[in-house]
Amino acid sequence: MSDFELIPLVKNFYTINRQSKDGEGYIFDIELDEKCPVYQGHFPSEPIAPGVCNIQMIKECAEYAIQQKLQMKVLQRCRFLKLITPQNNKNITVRMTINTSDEKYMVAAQIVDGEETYLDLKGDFVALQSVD
Amino acid sequence: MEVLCQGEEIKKLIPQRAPIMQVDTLFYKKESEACCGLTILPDNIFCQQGHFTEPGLIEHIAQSSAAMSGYSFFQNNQPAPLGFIAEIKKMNIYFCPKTGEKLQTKLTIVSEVENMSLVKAETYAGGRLAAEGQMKIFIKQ
Repeated sequence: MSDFELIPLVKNFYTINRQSKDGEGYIFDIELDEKCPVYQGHFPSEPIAPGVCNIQMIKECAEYAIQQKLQMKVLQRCRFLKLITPQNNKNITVRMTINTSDEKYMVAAQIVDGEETYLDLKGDFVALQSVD
Repeated sequence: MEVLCQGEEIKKLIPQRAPIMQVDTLFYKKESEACCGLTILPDNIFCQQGHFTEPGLIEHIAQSSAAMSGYSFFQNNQPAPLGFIAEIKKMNIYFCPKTGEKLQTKLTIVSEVENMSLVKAETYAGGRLAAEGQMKIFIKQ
């Protein structure tokens, strides 16, 4: 086993309860934490998971899948189809495929809850170089 | 550069609050253009190992766009509306700025249909282009 350790950027936003594989795809069963401090500001009277926190969560799931820290180069497209809230969507699933070419990791991912897709993303990442 | 709005006053333009506020200055707002700023403080929730990470850059762009439309509401004595990112397209991240750097984001509205606007953004740090891309923002009214 590698010594890769997943350290989420935003503390207490989510936990991965289970990771599994479906053919070439990765599946993450995730639990959102409504006590995460981001909800104090997004928004004060209406807690909604910030879109960028969802994107970061997908990036971290990809890192966990390949056991490698990543840097986003191009977010080709990210569609936010429905709002994700920690009350209505406590348990969600992240599905993704990761293809590699020329040192690039091409991630295609969705966030789903039951039958519904909430977010759909395609992005290109590279291995994170040690930052100066 | 002249400043239209900064510090605590920014709260009149955007609905986001600590710890996720990612805009601290509106430099100017014209018909379909605006420029916003952010000084990256060490306790920013999107900072890691001395750098401002990708979600921080993207959220800064989204809130810059919120401040741009929020300014029109402010001029009409209305509170800042809630806005949500509907779609992000071709967002290039060239580098992650360092803690302490000042960001400047130039926004151009490409199109506006009812509550949805398509905005083009370029974010500079220390004069260098750090990120650029397009975002569709939905304003809840």
